Amino acid sequence: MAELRDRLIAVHSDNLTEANNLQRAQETRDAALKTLHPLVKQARTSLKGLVEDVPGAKALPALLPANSEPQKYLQAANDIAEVWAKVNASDAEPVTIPILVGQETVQVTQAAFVAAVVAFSSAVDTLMTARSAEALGRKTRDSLHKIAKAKLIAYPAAAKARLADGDPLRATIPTFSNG
Amino acid sequence: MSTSTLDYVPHVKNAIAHWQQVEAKTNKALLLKDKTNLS
Repeated sequence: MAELRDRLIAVHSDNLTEANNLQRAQETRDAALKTLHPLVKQARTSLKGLVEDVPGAKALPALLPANSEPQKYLQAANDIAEVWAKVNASDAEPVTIPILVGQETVQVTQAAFVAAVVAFSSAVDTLMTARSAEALGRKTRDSLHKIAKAKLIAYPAAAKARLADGDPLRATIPTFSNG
Repeated sequence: MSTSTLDYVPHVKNAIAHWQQVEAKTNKALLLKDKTNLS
C-alpha cells in the first residue's frame, strides 16, 4: 500500500507535467500555424502568375483553411514550397513574397518559407506525442485509482477481522466510499 | 465524476497508518479479502 501511495503521488506529478507539456505543445503548434498560414496564402497568390511559365512545375494546391487536418495542410504547404523551388530554379532571381509585419512589408524567401513549414510540422509531431503521453498518463492514473479504490473499500473488513470487538482501533478504522 | 489522484493519497495514507497500528497490535500481516497483502 505504501508503494501504491508512492505510485499515486508520482503519477499525479506526471499527469501535471504531461498536461503542461500538452498545453505548451498546443501553444507552439498554434503559434507555428499563425506564422505559416499568411505565408501559405501569400505564396500561393504570388506564385500563381509565375508558375504557368515554368515547365514541369505542378499546379499550386488549393488554399486550405488553417484548421484543416495537419497532414493535408502540410502536404499543400510542401507542394507550394516545391513549386516555389522550381520557379526559383527557372528565374534569374529567386522569388520572394511580400508579407506585412506590423506597418512594414518584409520579403520572405523560399528557404524561410520551408523553415516555417518544418517548424509547423515539428510542432504537430510534438503535439501528437504530448497528446499520447497525456492520454497514457490518465490511463495509468485511472488504473491506479481502481486498485486504490478496491483496497480502500476492502480495508475495513480486513481490519475488523483482526481486531476484537471493543478494541479501540475498531472505532478509528478509516472508511472510504466513492460511488 | 471520479476522484482525482490527489484525493486518493490521504485516504491511502490513513489506511496505511491504521493498518500499521493493527499490525503492531496483532503482530500479523493484514490480508485483504482477495488474499493480497495490504502492502
